Amino acid sequence: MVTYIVRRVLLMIPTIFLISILTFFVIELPPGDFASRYAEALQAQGLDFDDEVLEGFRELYHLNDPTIIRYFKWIGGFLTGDLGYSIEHRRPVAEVLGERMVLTVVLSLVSLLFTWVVSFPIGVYSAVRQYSFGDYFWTVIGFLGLAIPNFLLALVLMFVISKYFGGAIGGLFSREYQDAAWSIGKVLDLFRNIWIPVIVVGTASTAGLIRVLRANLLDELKRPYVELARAKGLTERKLIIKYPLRIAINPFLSSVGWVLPGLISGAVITAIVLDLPTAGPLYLRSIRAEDMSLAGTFMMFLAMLTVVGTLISDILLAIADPRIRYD
Amino acid sequence: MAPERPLLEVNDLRTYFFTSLGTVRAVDGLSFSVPLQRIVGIVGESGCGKSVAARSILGIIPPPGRVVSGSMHFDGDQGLLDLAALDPHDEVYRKTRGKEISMIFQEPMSALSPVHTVGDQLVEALMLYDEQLTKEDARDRCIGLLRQVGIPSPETLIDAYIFELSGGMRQRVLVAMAISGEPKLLIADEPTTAIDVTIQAKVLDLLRHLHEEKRMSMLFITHNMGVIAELAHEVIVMYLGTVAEQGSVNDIFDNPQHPYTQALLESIPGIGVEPKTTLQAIEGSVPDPYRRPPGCPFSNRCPSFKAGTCDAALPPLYRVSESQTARCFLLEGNEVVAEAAPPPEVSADG
Repeated sequence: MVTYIVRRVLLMIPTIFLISILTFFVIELPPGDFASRYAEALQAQGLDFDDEVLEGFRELYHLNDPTIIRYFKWIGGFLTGDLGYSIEHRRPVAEVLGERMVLTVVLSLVSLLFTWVVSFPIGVYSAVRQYSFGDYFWTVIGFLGLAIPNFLLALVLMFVISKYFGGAIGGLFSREYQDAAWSIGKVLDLFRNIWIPVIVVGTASTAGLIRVLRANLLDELKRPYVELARAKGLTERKLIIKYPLRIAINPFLSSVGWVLPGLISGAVITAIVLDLPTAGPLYLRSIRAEDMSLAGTFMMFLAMLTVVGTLISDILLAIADPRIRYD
Repeated sequence: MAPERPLLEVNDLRTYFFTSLGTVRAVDGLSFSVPLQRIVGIVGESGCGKSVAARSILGIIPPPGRVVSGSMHFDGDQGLLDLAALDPHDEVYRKTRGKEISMIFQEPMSALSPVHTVGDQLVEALMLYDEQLTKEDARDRCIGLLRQVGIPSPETLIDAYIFELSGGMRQRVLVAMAISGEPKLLIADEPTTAIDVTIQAKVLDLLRHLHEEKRMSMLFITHNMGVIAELAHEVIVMYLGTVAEQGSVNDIFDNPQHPYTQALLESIPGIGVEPKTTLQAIEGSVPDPYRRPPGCPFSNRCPSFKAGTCDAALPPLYRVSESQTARCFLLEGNEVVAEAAPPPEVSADG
């Protein structure tokens, strides 16, 4: 097991290296270099920039170095936490990302928790009581959840809340905490407001997981080992938890791997509709604005999170299922 | 001397499956008994209801199936119980299951959980049957059980997963699990069908040995007449959910009365027979469960079919001798042991 994990971690290094080359290539793709784009951005705001300053700029940021040197400078900066400079925001990328990443992680983890806590018991119930009223009820709800686009659900929820409950909607904070520094009050306020985006973001995946768990568990419930466990005299509840559920749970474990990259790229439309200060909209805007150092950072993060997420779910699966070989 | 009360007495058992295509009468008026310390063999083709009968006794019929009528009197630790009258989820029934009546399943490949060790699954059973048992004692007992069923180096194999064992070893684990509660009645549902012929003989030896050692009653279900001849004291020949013929093993092999029994015996391949003789097969196949022939269920395949009699009514059970009965109109004139009861009118919601 330990050698398995070590080998998997070592394998991540060349993978991430290849991805970084690809990412750097994408960053370099737009015409011109960082300096000329920066000048363009300033010119668009009416500021003038002469060539001499531009050249000094190039000198300062080593933009005249060969591509390969610049690649290593970039990746080196990446490793030391220097993520480059965002043209659009005119701040270092690390600063732009900072607070948004925290909120994104909080929102995603709470959504994930919501998804699991809700879908798990419903999925089990639907499988064990197949074709019961409750099963049909949750099936209908589940398909509605799958079929309704998140942003539409967001709009409907916003409408209902503002019409019948009044109060602020959109964003993760009430107005008085919007620009306030972090405090206990702000954290509490966050959790007062977070449930709307959590429901919106979590509904579709909850519905999806219910269907997956139900189908998997139904498959497992028909297996002879379940019948044997029943013939042994185990109570129904005990045997379902110990045997078929244990095996049907694998999709939950595999989904852990997709959750991490979803932190950034998931729920972009919802975040825009609900005006959430998360990373998704920022990523979208950086690409549209050709703000390549910011977009490149996002791409690198996405790739790394995917690789790490896959590793985590593979390890979890290897623990859960002894049939998975380590060699 | 009054006859001893049998361990299990099944009377007119009917287990139906209510599917969307119609009602399948998988077990339809089955009566037999398992005396103490005897091996009773149930033999019949695939689909005759043998396995459903076994699952009915254990109360593990999967929906949409259900025991609809009849009785199953079991003389166990908790007194004389009519299992058919109990709700399968009933505590009393659950405590009988596994401990007093246990079952060896057909598929050693899939009847054990792939993600739990042998020991995990066995210790669980042991601790269920003996609540005072500590985990350490249960583990010791478990190793003892594995040794008893002939598993080499049980101290290591107790921590093995099922996929690390051969088919024969898996079947031995199933046997160990089935005897872990020291059951009064062991039901073996085709325990040798899914394993190699050479291993089959060993598993049969093991079962016979365990029977002699523990003096437990056995209900041995198979489609293999040879296995029956080797193991069983009494034989029940089943066809389409009911008894075609029953008797001692000598009755059935030396003096079969029902044309179906005769046909089954003729279809056994033998080493001693003249080379190049064609193996006798029974004409046709088991009828579609949704379209049963009227009258005797075997009438559409029977070589002695008499129009107007066999397709008119289900024959009653006739006495052949003290120990033998058969359900066939050829025996008309003999004493009627039990009239053929018509199936009850039941619906899915019972």
